[in-house]
Amino acid sequence: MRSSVLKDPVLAKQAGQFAWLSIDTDKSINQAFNEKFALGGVPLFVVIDPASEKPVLSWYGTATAPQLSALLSDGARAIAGQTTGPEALLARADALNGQKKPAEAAALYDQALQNGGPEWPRRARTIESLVMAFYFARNMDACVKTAVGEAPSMRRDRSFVNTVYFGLDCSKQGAPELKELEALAEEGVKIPGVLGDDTSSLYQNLAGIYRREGDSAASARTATAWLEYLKKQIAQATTAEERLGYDLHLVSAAGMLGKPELALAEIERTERDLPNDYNPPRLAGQIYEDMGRLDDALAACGRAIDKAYGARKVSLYITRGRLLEKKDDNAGAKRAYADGLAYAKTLPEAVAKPLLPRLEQLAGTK
Amino acid sequence: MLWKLVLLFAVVPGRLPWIEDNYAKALAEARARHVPIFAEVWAPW
Repeated sequence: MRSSVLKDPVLAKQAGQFAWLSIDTDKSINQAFNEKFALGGVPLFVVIDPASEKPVLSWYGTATAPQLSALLSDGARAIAGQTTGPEALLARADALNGQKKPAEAAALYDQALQNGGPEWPRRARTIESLVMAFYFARNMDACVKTAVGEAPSMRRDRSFVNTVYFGLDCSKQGAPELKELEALAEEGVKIPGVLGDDTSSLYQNLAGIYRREGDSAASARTATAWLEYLKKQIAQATTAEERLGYDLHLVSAAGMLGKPELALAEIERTERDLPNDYNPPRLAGQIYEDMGRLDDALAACGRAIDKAYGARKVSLYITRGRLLEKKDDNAGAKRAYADGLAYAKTLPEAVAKPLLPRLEQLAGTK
Repeated sequence: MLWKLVLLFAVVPGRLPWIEDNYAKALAEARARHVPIFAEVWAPW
C-alpha cells in the first residue's frame, strides 16, 4: 500500500492541507508515538488535532486512495467542528476509536448507521469501522453478526472485502454464521479492482478458516488459488518494494500448501533487488528452515540480523538460537540468545521490557 | 520570520512531503501552518 496508494495523485491534491508524518513502528525512536496513538496493528492511519494532540480519526488497515482522501476530509472536518447529524456521530465515534476506546466507538458507529439510513454515503466506511471497533473491543459475536447482517447488501468493493475479512477473523469454530461468511469470502476474493493486499488477506483468512474447520480440500483449493493470485500480482508489480508486499503473503501461501520452496526463487530475487531490506533474508531463512536446510537458514538469518533493528532484530536472534538448537549446537544457541539479550538492553525500556523475560530465560541468565 | 516558516514548510505540488519518524517536527509544522497531522503508521514486515 505504501508503494501505491500513498503515491496516488488523488492524495497529492491534499498535500497542503496536512502535515504528513510517516512512522516506522519498529523504530525505537517512535515508541512514545506508538504508546499514544498506535492500536497494535499496521497499517494504521491517524488524523491528529495539533492543538490538543488528540487523534480525531484512526483507520486500521488498507484503503484505496479515494477512501483515504475521504477519511482525511472527515478528520479535517471533525477538527473544524463542521459535522452535523450522522456525520457528527461518526466524528465522535472516530475520535473515541483513536483514543483506544473501541467499545464506546462501536456504540456511536452503530448510532451513526441508524441515523444515516441505507442511502447514507458514508454507510460502507462506517460498517467497516464498526466491525473493526467490535474486533478491537473483542466483542466477537457482535463483529460476526454485523458482518453477516451488512455485507450481503454492500456494494462489491474493498469495503465489502474488509467487512467479510473481519467477520471471518471474529468467527469462532463451528459458528452458525460461518458458512455464510465463507460464501461471502469466496465471492470477495473474486471481486476485481480491489487492492491486492486486501484480496490476498481475504484468501489467507478463508484458507485458514477452512483448515481450522478440518476441510483440507477446501483449504488446499483456496491456498492454491491464493498462490496463483499472488504470482499474478507479483508479475504485474512495477517495483521491488511493491513485490515485497506480496512476497510476505507468498511465503504464507506456500507454507500453507506445505510447499515452502514455491516461494524461494521470488524471495531470492527480491533479496538481490533490495539488498538493504531485512525482510527478504528473514523470509528466505523461514523458507530454508521449513525445507530443512538449516545451514542456509542460519546464513539468511545472519544477513537479516545485520540489517534489522528494534524488536524485530531481537526476534531474529531468537530465530538464530532456535536454528542452532535444531543443529544440536546448544552453546551456540545460548550465545545467540545472549546476543539478543544484550541488544534488547540497548532498546528503550518500553520496547525492551516485554522481550526481556523470555530472552533471559532462553539465555539462562534467570 | 513568518515568510521563513512559509518557505520552510512549502509544499511541492503533486508530491506528499512526508516527515519521517519525527512527531515533534510534524507537530511544529502542523501548528505553524494550522493544519492537522496525518500520520501513516507502518512496519517493514
